[in-house]
Amino acid sequence: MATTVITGRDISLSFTGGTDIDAQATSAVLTKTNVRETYQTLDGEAYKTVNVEGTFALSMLADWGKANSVCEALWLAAETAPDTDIAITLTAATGAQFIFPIKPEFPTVGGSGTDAQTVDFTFKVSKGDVGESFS
Amino acid sequence: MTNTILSTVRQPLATAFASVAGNVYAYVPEAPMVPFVVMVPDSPYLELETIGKAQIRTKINLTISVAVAYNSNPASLDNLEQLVISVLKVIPAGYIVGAVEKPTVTQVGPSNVLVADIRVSTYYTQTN
Repeated sequence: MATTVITGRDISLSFTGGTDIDAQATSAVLTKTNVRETYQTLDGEAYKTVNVEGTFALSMLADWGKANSVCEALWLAAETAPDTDIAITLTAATGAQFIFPIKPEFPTVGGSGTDAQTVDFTFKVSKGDVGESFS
Repeated sequence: MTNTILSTVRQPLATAFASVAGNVYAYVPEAPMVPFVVMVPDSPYLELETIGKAQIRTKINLTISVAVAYNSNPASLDNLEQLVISVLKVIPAGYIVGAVEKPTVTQVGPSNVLVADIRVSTYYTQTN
């Protein structure tokens, strides 16, 4: 089998509200984790997964002031409906799509004099509920 | 109108410099007339920083070379500093302004010019 290489440029991303997040995002990483308890038994270690958690790390160029700003949409969502999920669809590459809900967070504001303003998020994936579609 | 780097990035930048006291070029001319301001590619020139490839989106690094006649060192440096400051004042929003490199003497055609480079970056999205 030939070696496959996919990069961040293979990712596409969208979220409820439909703002153009692909134009701003420089990194998007979904992490889903099994929370596993370890028990010491007479037979040795035994394991039980008791929960599933997820986080979604997003780095982006700030877009305050732009029409359909992602920063402004997330700020308003965090302010007006902080416990309401935002549905994210992340396609890692053609044929591998992940759909998951996140809780909105406030973006940071500002930056240094020499660089572009950037925003880094670590969103909580609600209930670790990540749906996948592989083809 | 074709959405090119020249039409959406370099020419608008050159247009913004219309008020500075120098000849402004959006590209490197064969024989620039001093004092002049010229946009040239920096290295790396294009950087693909954003996710996705449905559209080509790239960071563009440019050098704005600002040059004055090199006749007398004190006057030339003063002229260059004034031209650099006037350029910095009119760089439009949407451009990241980096360092101004130290002035050097460069031969352009038969004459010497004192030139300093201003590093700027911006983003370009190809839409057609």
